[in-house]
Amino acid sequence: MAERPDIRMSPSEVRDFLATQRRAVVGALDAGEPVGTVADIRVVDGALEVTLAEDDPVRLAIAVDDRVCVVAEQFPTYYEIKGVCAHGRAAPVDGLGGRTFCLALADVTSFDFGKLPRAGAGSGTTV
Amino acid sequence: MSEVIGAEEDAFLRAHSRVFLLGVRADGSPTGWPMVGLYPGGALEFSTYGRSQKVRDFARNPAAACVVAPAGGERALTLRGTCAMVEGQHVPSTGTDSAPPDVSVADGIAEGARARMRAGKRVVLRFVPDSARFVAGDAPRTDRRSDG
Repeated sequence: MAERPDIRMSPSEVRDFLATQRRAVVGALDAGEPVGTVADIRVVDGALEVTLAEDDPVRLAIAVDDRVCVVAEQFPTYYEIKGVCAHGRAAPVDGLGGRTFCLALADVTSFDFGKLPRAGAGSGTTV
Repeated sequence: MSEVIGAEEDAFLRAHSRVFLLGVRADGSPTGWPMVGLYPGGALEFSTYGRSQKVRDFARNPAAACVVAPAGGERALTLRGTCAMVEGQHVPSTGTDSAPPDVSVADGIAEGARARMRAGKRVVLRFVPDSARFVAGDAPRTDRRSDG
């Protein structure tokens, strides 16, 4: 079997990509089951700052269980596809149950299709 | 359509395939994957490698959520439900003839994906919703706090 290419981003590439994103999907837990929403994001001091809508019920879920993930993605063309999922615990910026939390970029999965070979093994064009 | 998927939700799901699939990792924490979600009606389907992490995660715990969020869209649709691999199904119910209209695929990629489906290397994950709710979408919000 052909070895799959490593298309993960480096930590600096993750930060640079997230800095280009304004909105992202937030995953949280309600009674242990996943729930999702869309929120504002920005990179502050190497971490993600996430702001939920005032009326978003996911705020309450995070106040009960602070484990979250934040998923950002772009797909302008195939070889410009990039995605990041950051996992961790939401650190409240404006108090428990507030709109804004910080998330460290310590537990991250990522992909950058720009790192795929354009032909041959691992390119996606062959079996 | 169903009690969960009304006419408005059905139309939204038929028009948009950019989906963030959310599940639970082995340690109980949430995780997510940006995916192309195909909607044959009543459920969302995803084509993925049979050996992928998400297949293992949903085999262990089928609890799932989806956020259907067209890039730059004013609205997104959040769904809660369950997700599981469909035994013996390697091709989405929508077929393999063409990519969704909102997905641009490079030359050769679609053909390669179809070949891997035929070879049984890819499987279908099916997400069945039990609730749905529209939220503000991917477009930057006008009430966003100042960056300054």
